[in-house]
Amino acid sequence: MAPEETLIQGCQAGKRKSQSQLYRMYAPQMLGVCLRYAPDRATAEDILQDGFIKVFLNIGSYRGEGSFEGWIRRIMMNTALSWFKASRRQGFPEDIDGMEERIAAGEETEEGEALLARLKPEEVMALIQRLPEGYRMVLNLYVFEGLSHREIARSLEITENTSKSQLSKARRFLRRLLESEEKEREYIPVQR
Amino acid sequence: MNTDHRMDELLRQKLGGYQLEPSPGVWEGISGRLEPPPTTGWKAWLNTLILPLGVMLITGGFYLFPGQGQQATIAAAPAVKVMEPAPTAEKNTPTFRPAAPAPLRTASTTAAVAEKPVPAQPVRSSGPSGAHVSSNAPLQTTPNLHSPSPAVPTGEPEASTSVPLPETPATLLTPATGNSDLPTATLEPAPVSQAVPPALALHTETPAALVMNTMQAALTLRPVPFQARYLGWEPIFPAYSHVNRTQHTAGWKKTLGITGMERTIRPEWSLGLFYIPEIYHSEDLHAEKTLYGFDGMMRYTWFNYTLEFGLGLSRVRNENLYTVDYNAYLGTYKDLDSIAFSVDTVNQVIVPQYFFSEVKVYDSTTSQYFERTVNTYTYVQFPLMLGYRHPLGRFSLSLRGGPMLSVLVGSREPQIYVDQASDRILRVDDQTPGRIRTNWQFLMNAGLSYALTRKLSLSLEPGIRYYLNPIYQELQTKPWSVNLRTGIIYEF
Repeated sequence: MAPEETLIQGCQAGKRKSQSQLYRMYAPQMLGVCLRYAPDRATAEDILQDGFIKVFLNIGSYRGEGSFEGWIRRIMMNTALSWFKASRRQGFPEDIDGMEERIAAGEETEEGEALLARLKPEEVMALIQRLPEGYRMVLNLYVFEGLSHREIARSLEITENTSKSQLSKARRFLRRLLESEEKEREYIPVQR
Repeated sequence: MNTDHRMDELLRQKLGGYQLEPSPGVWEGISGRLEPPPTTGWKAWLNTLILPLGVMLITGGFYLFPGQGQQATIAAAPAVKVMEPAPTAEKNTPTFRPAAPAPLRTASTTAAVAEKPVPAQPVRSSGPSGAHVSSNAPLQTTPNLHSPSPAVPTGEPEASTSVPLPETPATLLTPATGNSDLPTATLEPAPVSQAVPPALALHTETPAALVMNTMQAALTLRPVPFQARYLGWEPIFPAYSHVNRTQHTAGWKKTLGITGMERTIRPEWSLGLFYIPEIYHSEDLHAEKTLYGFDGMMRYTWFNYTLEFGLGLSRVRNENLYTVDYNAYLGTYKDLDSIAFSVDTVNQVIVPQYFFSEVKVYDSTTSQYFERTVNTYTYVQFPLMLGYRHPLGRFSLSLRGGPMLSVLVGSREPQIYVDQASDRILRVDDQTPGRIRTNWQFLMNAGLSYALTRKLSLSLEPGIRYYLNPIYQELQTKPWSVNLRTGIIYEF
């Protein structure tokens, strides 16, 4: 595999071979990012595809300042945000406020964290994907991208308070999911 | 709060470096949606120059290659040449009368005799000292054309004055020695710069004549062998040889070609403005699309041949198809939220109060319908067409063909408006692939034009256009179209 810098130069010159190598280098990692934002794998791959198109079309603007991986990750995140906004405009059925009743009850315990520590990454991913759109977006931006509530509010076109409350609800919702997961596991008969 | 931080940290640990191999179709999709890589460096220059070079080669072919059967090959393989008369000539132009086999041979081929007369152009001096070649036996200089230069013995007693050409090994023309049956030619010594008589010079009123004169001037500076090599120039295209076509309108010009033949040529520039409605068909999209184009072009007409180039603007109206997935709205029901009881103290009864909320009910199966938007795309077009025109009085018929480059410069793609007030919209997918920014086409049209005045004519040109590369991303089929180019042409 050619060094990253050579690949970037090749992509800037529009060489398809370099584009293919760069894609192979970063696609698995970026699919992991997209999966966190998407409700399912098909949507995640759509976002990944759109994101890489943007990467290749705009790679000329990459000046070599900062890590290239970070640059691609940022593009993937922005593509996911665009997808979220478009789906929200098209009247996605997810009603964040309607979830409140489901997560209102329940005390914060440490059982959830304990189970989270035991779960495999793909199982955690499945739980994240079960979160409502709005919760998932805020959780991703805050926890994984390290954005402040002000930045999240600007990105998602919501207020800062909404961002905070969505994050809080997302965590509680996740705990509830973990608890229900825990209960389901308890009922699984031990196989001998 | 600590619990939250622990949870966040756990999530980062679990998913921070999460990787998963994408499906193979993802790269195929990316690859299909990316335009072909732009050609860079020398390839781009080569692509840019191919067309002009091609045109130059074709037009240059008129001059650079001798006509069939009229090529003298003295320089390469010395041959015997016989002077032939020009069909017509100006009064003050030295003429050559039909010559019986009267070969002039080069010094290196003194024993060679021509089997067949080969038409050729003689090297002649200009003005009053021009050589006169006669068919009645020995060629002699006429008294009034007598040169002051000392005669050079030719070995031919009948030749009163015999003057060699400048001594160049391959072209020193001398009569055949020891063969008194053959007529001989005597030639005046002439400076190299005067080797081409006025009759061979074209008038300079036209660009074509200018080119020919320039080339001719260049030839006169070359050594005689090279000059002799091109004496037999004849155009390779038959239309070039048309003579006496003076029956047409003013603007036609008479001139004498290198062969001394009288010709009429009509090199001219004209400007055309056209409106081009067009319908194209693509097998992939199962729909006919309509284009409306305008173009302005410059046409250069040279004899019956035309070369067109210009700039066009084309607008395409294209229906975009969207699929909308939705759950149909079925109605509502009242969901009992709570019951409150109050005591009717008068009647001593408990009165319940019911509180309902309205819940919408949607079909659990996903339905689909299609929405369409009309997109508009603007292309700038660069045609380059070669053609042939046949005049028929006020009418003229033409046939043209050539490549055209189209570049997408603008698009208007309105947002889809989903008018499903009560249904639950799940997904909206754009089914129409994107357009490729540049593509090449090959155009061919047959035209009929009618001259309204000497300067102005109307033109009607039905034609076909074949796209040399696909116009849609992700599709491989190449569409074709039919068009009707209508416009007005002004001749300068």
